[in-house]
This record gives sequence, C-alpha cells and structure tokens, in this order.
Amino acid sequence: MNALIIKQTIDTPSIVLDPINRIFIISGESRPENPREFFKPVLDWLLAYENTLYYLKNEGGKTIELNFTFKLDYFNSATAKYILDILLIIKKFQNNGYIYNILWYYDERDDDMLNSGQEFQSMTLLNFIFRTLV
Amino acid sequence: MGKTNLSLLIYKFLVKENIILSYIGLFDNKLVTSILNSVKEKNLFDKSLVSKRVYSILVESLENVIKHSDDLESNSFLFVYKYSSHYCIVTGNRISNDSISEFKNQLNNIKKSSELELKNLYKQQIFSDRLRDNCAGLGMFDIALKSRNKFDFKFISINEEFSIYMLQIRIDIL
Repeated sequence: MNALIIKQTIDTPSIVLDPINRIFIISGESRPENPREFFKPVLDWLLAYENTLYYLKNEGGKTIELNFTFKLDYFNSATAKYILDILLIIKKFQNNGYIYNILWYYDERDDDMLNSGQEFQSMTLLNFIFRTLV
Repeated sequence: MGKTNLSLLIYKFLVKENIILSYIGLFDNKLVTSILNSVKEKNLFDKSLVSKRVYSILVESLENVIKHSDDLESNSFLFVYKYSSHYCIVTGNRISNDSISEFKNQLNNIKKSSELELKNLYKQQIFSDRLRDNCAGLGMFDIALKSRNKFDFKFISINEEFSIYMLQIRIDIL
C-alpha cells in the first residue's frame, strides 16, 4: 500500500500516512475551504489500510501497536467533524484487535487544544496520550 | 482632495475607538485567508493563549459571515477592538428575513446554555453533522465555548426582505 503524503499549505495541514514506517501524523493548521474534498482521500486511505492491518495481524501473528499523531496548531470547527471521522475509523481498527494510541500534542499555554483532545477522547473512548509541544 | 479631511476623521475615530482591524466589503474564502495571514504576520494579537483564542474565534466568525450571508454580492463588515481587558469582534452581514426566526432560536439556545450543556450540544451536533455529511453547525458552539459564552447578536431590519445580522463576541484577556 502506498503512503499518502499531503504537503502543508496556508490553510490545510500536512498529512503523512506511511504504512511502511508506520508513521501517521496530521500537523499544522486546518481550515480548508472545502473540508470534505480535503479529507476524503484521508478517510479513504484509512479505510483501505484496514486490509493491510488484517494481513499483518493474520500473517505476522503479532499484536500490532500503532500511534496516530495529531500535532495541530489550530483547526476550525468544520475540521473537527473530520477529526472525529478519522478517530472513529481508528476505533473500528481497535475493535478489530489492533492497538492504537492517539498522540495529541498541544502548546502548554493552549488549554483549548488540550480541551478539544479531551472531548475527542470522551467521544471515542480511544487511548489518548497528551503531550506538550517542546 | 475633498475627502482627505473626512478620511483623517475616520482614521482618528478608528484609533480612538481601539479598532485594530476593520474591513467592509465582500467576504469570500480568499479574503478570509488574507485577513488571517495578515493577523498572523503582524502579530496583531498578543502572543499568548488569548491570541490563539482570538484567532480561532475570528476564523469561525468570518466563516459564519460567509455561511450566513444570503447574498455574497452585498457588503459585510468586520471590526476587531482591542482593550486592556478584552478583545471584541463584531461582524455584520445581510440575511434574508425568512431565515431569522430559526436562527434566532438557535442563538438563544446557545446563549442560555451552561458550559457543560454547550459541550453536550456540541457533541450532539458533531455526531449529527457526521450523519448528514455536513459540517455547518459547529461554528457557533465553538465561538460560545471559547468566548465563555460572551456573545451578543442583533438583527436590524433593512426592508421587508432583508436584515443585517450582527454578532458581537467578547474575549477576555486573562
């Protein structure tokens, strides 16, 4: 499966979904003009990744633990819905036996970003690890 | 040169009233991006949590203006005031009288909610937006939560068909 790499722009975040190195990071600022158009490839990629995970689990026979990182400076309310969509796909992975950690980075002065992460945690009951940006 | 005195008066008025950002005209996504970039580049807000909060509320207010303007050909406006204790963002845009009643109910509901109620309403909204593949309803909840519900609104009738929808948000400097 190919990686999905989208470069950061002034209003859209950087996306790195790299199945070989198992790096999954969304970072930067997110307020796309058309959120659905921007996030559709991300959601499609994640749904397709489930087959890869299935193969790894059944052929490799090991428990797979993965980290998905959100390192956002800012995201608008329209992006929030798509973050939830992403988390709910990950939740499905989790229900199918893969262990997923959500690494949620925030500026230590930015209570709002921490609160948002906590809200997503309560909505999805995923394992969130909160880290401050250095 | 007949307008120089008037222009000077307007300039002095804006300074006297602590207006650090003002725009009157057509709003679209390109304009919003350019306003936000200039806000960031010039560090218009203090570098602090408040600045992030003001930025975030500014984004949602500008997106609201675009979303709720029934007619993007008409002028809308934005003013940002800066005082020692708080910032104040005021937006205005034309809205069809037909849509006021439902909108007013929604705003009143948000306004009278406690923080906990707002968080619950936000959750309901994000899940229902998800089902409808819509992402239009969350902005006002976000504004209410981040401003600690310090917002006010007004509809000023222009004629039988249209009104001006004005939204004022206060963000305290902690």
